[in-house]
Amino acid sequence: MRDPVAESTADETLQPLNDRVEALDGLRIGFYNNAKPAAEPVTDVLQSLLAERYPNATFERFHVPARDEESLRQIGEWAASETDVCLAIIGDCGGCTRAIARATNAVEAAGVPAVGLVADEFGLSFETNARNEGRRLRHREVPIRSETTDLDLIREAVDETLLDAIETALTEPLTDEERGTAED
Amino acid sequence: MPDDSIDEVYEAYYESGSTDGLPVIPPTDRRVDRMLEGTDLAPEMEIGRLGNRQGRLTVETVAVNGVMAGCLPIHMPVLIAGARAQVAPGSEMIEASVGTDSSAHLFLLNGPIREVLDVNSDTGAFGPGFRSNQTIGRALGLILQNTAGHHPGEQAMGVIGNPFKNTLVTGENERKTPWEPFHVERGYDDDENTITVTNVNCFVQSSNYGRNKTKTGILSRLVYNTPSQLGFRKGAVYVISPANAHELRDVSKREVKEYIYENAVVPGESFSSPGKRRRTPDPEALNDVRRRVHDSPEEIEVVVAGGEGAWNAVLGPMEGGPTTVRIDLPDDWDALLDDYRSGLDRDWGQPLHGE
Repeated sequence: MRDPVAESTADETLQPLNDRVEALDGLRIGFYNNAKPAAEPVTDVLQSLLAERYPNATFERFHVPARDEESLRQIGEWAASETDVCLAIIGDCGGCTRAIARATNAVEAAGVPAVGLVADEFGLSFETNARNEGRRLRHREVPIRSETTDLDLIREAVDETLLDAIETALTEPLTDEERGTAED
Repeated sequence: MPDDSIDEVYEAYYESGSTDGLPVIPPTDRRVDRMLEGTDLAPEMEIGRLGNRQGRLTVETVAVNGVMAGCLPIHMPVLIAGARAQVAPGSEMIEASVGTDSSAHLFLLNGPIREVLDVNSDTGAFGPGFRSNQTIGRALGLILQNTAGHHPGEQAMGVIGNPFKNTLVTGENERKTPWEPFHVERGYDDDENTITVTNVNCFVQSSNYGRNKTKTGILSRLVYNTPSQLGFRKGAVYVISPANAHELRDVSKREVKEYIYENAVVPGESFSSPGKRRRTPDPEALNDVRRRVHDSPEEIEVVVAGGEGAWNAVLGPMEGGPTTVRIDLPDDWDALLDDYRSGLDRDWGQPLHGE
């Protein structure tokens, strides 16, 4: 019997994530914004809370649609030169979750630890996109519905619990699978 | 790997996510090798790559999925051209597949091969019943799924879903169009065979019986039934039945497009400035300001298909394409037809094309 599934090098060679940082305070925290309507308000609220928690951190923002190889190259270049860790915001539809996974991968490929943020119910989409990118990228779900731009709802969702989760994503040591050393 | 039992293969491939949910013909070595008779290309030749996983779409991948969908070896030239259209960047197959808007993939066949392969372009042009229409669309859907690795809820995030994702294949009714066929309009010769792909969200039908059966009536109904959602993306395919096309025979295709462009409008508050690919709501716009749905006549496609009767359809909005690819036939095409054309024989319905 022949296999109908096309070969993919992503399935064969798992690329490792970058080692996580020990702590976020004092680092340059980057926000990649994919221009979805929710990206900017989520970034604004997150930056405000992160600034309170990490008074010595600085913040950098970058925006370009992650639609092609050139834009992914730009994202990686920005992350490598301007940031120590990076958040990619936000996957809240099919195409943009794919784009956020690709952007998160571009940042990791540039040597910077990253976490992708997606809306409720888009975690599985991020995971499968990440797997197909060939890297077990980390992500966190922001408890907002798809395309939420209401600032009050975002303030309610982007809280200390989410900050803890983001901090863990950027500081918790890698698993064997994330290092690309796990045996399937 | 599973054996040749249809039940076991179906269940094993369903479990692994390699089917579209329907039973499949087991792609045994014998069947796949037979399918590969339909092309002069080497099985390992790469046609392109699809999806984040950069799935390697080879001629053999096309053949395996073609077998599973129920295609014949004589469908291979169409499938290979369709696969080339799928990997062409402008067709935006991946964007349409992952998007929440649930766009389906429309494939339009032009040229003599429609008749050779009994591709229905007459009564029930978009409906079930015809092996070529059904299996070509299904195979191309499986090829996309099994190359890009898309499954609903994982990467294919269409909110409502779309039954036309199963198959949306028709031929243009070139015998009954008063205008030059679609592929000729796009620079191909009459006797060339082509497949065109675009991705469409909606399928809206409207009738033109009675007093609407005038030039203005027909065109007005096309305009009236243009989905307002069209402002979200560009363009649409207007499918006009042969009867209504006959009524419009003194009007050029260009004039049809210009009429639709001029008259298909929505309230200004619906969308912001024309010309943007994706228009966002503009709360500042006045209710009585009306905007055109289409940015230009060039993003309007007109195709003649269907049987007798006064029904038309609008398919859109389009995402990506239309991307047209020529269908190249293998050297031993006539011998292949001798061997496999009987798989399309039927003793029901409208006569075989060309008979």
